[in-house]
Amino acid sequence: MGELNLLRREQIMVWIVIGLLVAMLFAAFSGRLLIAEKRSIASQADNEAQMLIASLKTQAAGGADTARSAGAVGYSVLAMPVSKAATPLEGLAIGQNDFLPETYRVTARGAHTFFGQSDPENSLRLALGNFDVAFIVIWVLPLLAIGLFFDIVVGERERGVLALASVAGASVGRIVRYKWWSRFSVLALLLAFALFLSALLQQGPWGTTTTFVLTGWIVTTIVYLALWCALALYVSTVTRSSESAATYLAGAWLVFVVLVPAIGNLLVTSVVPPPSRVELTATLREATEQADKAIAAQREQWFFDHPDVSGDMDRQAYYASVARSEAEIDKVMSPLLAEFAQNSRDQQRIVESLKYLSPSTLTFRALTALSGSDGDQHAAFRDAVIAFHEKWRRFFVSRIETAEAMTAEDYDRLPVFEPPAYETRAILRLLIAPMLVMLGLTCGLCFLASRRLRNPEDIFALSSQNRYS
Amino acid sequence: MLEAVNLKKRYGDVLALRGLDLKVGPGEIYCLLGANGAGKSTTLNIFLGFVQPTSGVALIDTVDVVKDPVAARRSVAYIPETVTLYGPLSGVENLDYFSKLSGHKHPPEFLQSCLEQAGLAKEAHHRPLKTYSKGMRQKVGIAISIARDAKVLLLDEPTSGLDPKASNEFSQLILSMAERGATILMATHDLFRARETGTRIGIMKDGSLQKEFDAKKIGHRDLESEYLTTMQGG
Repeated sequence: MGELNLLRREQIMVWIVIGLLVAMLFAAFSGRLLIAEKRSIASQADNEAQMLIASLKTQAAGGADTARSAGAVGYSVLAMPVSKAATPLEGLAIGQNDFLPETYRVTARGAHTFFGQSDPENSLRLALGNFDVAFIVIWVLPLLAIGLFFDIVVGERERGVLALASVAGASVGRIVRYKWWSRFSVLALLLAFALFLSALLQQGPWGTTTTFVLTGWIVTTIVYLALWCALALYVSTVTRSSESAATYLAGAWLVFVVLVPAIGNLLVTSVVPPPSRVELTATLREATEQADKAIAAQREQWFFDHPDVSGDMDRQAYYASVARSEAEIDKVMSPLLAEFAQNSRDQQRIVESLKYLSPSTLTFRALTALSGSDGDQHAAFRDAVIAFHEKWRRFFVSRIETAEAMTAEDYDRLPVFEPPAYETRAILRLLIAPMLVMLGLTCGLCFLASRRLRNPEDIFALSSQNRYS
Repeated sequence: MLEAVNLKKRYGDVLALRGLDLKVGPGEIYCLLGANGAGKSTTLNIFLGFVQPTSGVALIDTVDVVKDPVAARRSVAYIPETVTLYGPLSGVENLDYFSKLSGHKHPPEFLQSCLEQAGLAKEAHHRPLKTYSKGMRQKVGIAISIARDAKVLLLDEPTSGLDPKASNEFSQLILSMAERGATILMATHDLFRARETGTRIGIMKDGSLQKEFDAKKIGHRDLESEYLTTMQGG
């Protein structure tokens, strides 16, 4: 209880408790608002599409030309919004959701028409930026650990506590272990409590998956915290003064939290640069022009050969020619889109292999995986969208090619998007290696520190006043 | 009793102690004088078990500090140059904290009586230590040794930075502990305080004991002159 009483009296602990709770809750609230806005936009788009489908169905039953034309509906009237499924506690880690689209508007035209588009702008994102709970954990938590642990050995030595206590019969190792565990327990409990409150602030029903995600979050952040506390402990056992310990630890924070991830990003974009968007647009324009010219020539020839046809036949002929035009454009655009997809996979692969360079990237990867906002789950969503688009396109093109009119029943048979499921087992498998690595490092640092603490000379001889006088 | 036999300590290329022989008995206050780097603190640190001697033997009540440091420290108390302890805690709480660290749980009355014996006014017992003067903090250090019922006291420049009144009060405390049979070894730069408080005085230079005096048989001027002559290599 002595250490807890001491912590309670120290102003720093009061500020840590208040600061961490306020920052986490604000970040959780900000994440909730961002996700709620996203979901509201997606749900609104879906409602509008469903209302449009219902209206088209009624019109098709009444024999309206547009609603009965597969070409008109597939190419012009109906753009089906498909959204990434909501995952539990995704508001805690916005992750890749911040810049990868979560909603596509799929039509019967080529994939290039919707893969190039962005999400509707989320006004709250502009106002609040990227401030989520994951940000607090990755960036701020190590600073709190440094603030509480940097002088756990060197500061006690400077205050004369270790010498007095050691002479009083307590072992230096025991004192430091007691202090470390007391401080770590307080911080870990505070963190778990703040995460629990942050989870309560999120939307959605609370199920077993939510409990899994929250437990995963708590375990991951506590392991990350333990690693920083162990690093601070080790640095505190090998430095001559509190100032040096604080400087070394601030340097470690700068390297692992800021520089390594930044250099990693730079490396990824240098080694696997994304294909040029300008080239994509230029190629699309050229392919469209070429296809249009070819199709226009075919169309003129067809009308030249059929001078007597008009009305529905015109519409059917027009959309059949559009289908051929789209197929031509698709042939040119598919390799480019595949190149973008491959580039994204290559970048993800390099990010995966670099993640072990910093505990911050490891933790961020784990937290975004838990919240369903990592690159893997976005790639799975994109693959599902591609599969859905293919079904959607076939549905309309097959009717265009056979000149089959859309019926009211056809609107009930429209393909349905199946978003990829949130696989708790896959996420768990993904977490095991990073957690083991961080736990291993924590144990290693604690072992090195305790080896130094076992020999008082290693600790007391570091003091310059003890060295030569 | 404290005893050093041919005690040597090397830090890399620097020989901090060159075969020190020293004996301090119960009731004695031995003052070690010397410039910075003379080997005073190294001697204390060896007795405290913070530093291992390169060779030689250091004994506390006939127990070798290297072979059995736990038993050797059992009767020892230590007061460093600066007793900082924990600023947010009061004198009583600091004393309680250190007692618990060494595995003892004393009642508040006992802790307060230790502080009183150390000369700390009652009104200060429950004030945060950050409001204490340096002299008051040194008294808390003394109270820790009283609470432990220490028979051997090792002091590392304890009066450095104290005003004359506080320094005098501290000396009186040390003298009263010696009268109760404590063995005291004190490293200091303060020639006046060493002569006033000590029973024997040793002058150290370059890791060895150069001269030794009976404190009652040497005047202040003579001690100063001997000290300066030794420091100048005489």
